[in-house]
Amino acid sequence: MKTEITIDGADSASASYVAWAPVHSSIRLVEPDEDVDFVDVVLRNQHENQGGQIVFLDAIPGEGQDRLRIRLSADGTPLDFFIAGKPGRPSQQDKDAVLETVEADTEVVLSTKALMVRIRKNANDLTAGERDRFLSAFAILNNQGMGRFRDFRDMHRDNTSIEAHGRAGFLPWHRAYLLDLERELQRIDPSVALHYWKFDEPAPNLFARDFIGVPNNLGRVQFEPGNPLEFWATDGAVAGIERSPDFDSNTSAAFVMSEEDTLLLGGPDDLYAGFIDMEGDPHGEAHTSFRGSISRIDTAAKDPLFFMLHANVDRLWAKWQWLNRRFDTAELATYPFLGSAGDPGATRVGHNLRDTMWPWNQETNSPRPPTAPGGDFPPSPTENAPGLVPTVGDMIDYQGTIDLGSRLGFDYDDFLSLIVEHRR
Amino acid sequence: MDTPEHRRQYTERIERAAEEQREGLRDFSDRSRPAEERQSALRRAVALRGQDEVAEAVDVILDREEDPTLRASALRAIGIEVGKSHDLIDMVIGLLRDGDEPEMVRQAALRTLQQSSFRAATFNPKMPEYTDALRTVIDDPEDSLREQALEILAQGKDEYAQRRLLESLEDPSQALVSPGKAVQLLGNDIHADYYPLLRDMVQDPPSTEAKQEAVRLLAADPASKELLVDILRDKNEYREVRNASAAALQSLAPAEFQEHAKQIILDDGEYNDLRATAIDGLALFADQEALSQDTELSSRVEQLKEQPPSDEVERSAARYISMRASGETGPAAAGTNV
Repeated sequence: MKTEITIDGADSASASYVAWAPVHSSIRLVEPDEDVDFVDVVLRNQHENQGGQIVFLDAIPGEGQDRLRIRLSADGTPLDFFIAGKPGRPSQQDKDAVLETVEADTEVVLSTKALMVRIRKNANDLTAGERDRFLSAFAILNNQGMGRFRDFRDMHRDNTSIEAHGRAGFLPWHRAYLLDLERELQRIDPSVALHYWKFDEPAPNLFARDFIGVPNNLGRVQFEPGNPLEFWATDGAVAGIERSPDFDSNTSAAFVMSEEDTLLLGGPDDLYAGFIDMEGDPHGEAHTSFRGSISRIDTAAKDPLFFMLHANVDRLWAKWQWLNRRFDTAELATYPFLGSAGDPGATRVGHNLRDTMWPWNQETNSPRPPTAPGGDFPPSPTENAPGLVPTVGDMIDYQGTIDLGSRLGFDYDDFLSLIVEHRR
Repeated sequence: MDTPEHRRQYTERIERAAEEQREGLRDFSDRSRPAEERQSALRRAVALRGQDEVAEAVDVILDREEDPTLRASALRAIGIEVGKSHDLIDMVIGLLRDGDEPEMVRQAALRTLQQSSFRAATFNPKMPEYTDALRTVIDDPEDSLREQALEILAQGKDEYAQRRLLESLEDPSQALVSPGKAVQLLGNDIHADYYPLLRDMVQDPPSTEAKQEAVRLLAADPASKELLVDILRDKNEYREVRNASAAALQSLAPAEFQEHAKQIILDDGEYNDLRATAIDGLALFADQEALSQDTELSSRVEQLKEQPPSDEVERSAARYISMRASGETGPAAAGTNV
């Protein structure tokens, strides 16, 4: 007698990744013993004290539990349930969260399924393995300036800046940009997430030669021998990164406002229209806490640190959404331009909720930029959203809080999904 | 993690921060307080965004009788608003240009403008004036301001800055920054006619760092291939310079790099840090088909993993073997779960 578990409609290894947001799953009995009509089984974590951990929900909204007892019919009818990463227990390695099904009475193991609770983490707190996999995937994507990374470099330039900066779409556009990059990294190594630089705290483990490097007297970033970023190159054949902090990266934060102050930018009514001021501080201030390419829009994406800086910008938006429950795209407090470009009261194209975003829409007629690097938005083995041509609105409900089908498949290590949390 | 408790505690932190901001605003507005206290109050207020608060800060910023530290802090405190207002951008550009202003105020002006440049919708129309101000500042007597302005212009491939950098390399009496920095900045917009100058600098470098920078830029110069090989194989050369030549050669002539990297890996008399770099260069970027047929190299890397002469060699050898095992870049290839 065995059980068969399917995660979100896919029974493939590439779909075995979860974050905090609940994922629809199903279980059924296969090869049942004779003369039984049903079997009671328990779903649980195989190792409670090591690796990533899963919680189970029999329905959503629902309460995440460490164990879920369910009754399976002997005729093989599948039964639905939901799984999510357990708060505070993300994975450190690929497939280290092993879900097992045991017969309720005998505790005989009927099946196991190895998953990963894949979460974006504070880069300063990574294990050596997490760090090295992250760096290797980045280096392979870059491939000395000749890899797919070139598209990400070309998306974030002076002549494209208006698509992504200075208006409401700043945060959604960069969320899509990061997710595109993260999905490309995960094609190389699915265990990698786009970790963040928490720029309002010291990060000595990040600003080290075995991670993102430290500058010499000229601001040329130096790496430990064997660090995959030694061969990092952009803009042609020339290798290297120029970056030197104006702050002591071992002991100090960047010149940015704190996380708490950032989350207050929305004002007493917690409006997105006020929160978006974070584009200046902490976002702009984090960029300009350095000298080197990261301090300018046109050259910032030459530096891999840029993506970790922006992962933190996105985390702050996500945390603001979590704190103030700002996932409903029908509310002006969530996003101030609810229609499309050209509507009364609309803002520039690309910054309204229903507008598609360049470059994934491949629009190259004015006022869009003349080229659209990178093609369609990459699909994910685990998520259906946001589709090949995302809109601004597709970036809002990233955990599927309002609509489970909107889930984008990423989460951060320091707060949770409202769907799980509400019922706890 | 007890989530409702986590949310409650977090909300309390936010409320405390809000209270501190309010106190900071109140204390900053109290002109009877000494400059030190008002500056401390600005730090607590964090950002001034209301119309009256910004006007009050502008009064302080423009008042040359005020303490320069307070003026600089006030300027930073209105940074968000500068990114939304052409009038404020004009005011800050004026401060940057004004050589009579204290350096502290001009530094704050430069940082505020650079931060505001990320607000492209507002700032882009002001970019010509900003660029013009920066071109003025590259002749400023203040070293730090001069170098920063030059960096920002060079990153933007500014033709005037490029010309001045080249002049400063050709005639040291015209130097705006150190030769190494000048070479580095020229690299933002490298042209083939710079290569003879760079090759000369490699042969007769003013400093190790300048040599390292020049070697990097020769990565696109076919005529420099032999020079890069010589540097890579020279055990008397500085490690940083050899490393720069490894990256440059890998980019310029991958096949030659592959051969020399192999010799470095096989050479037990070679420095371990360079061996690690060579192993990684092959593991991540070399022709995997050719590598798969090189049993001599594979067995040596296996040996280096089993009996590593250093931690970095062990790590790189493990990555190499992992990638070979996967046969391509992929999950196993991308690293180790050390």
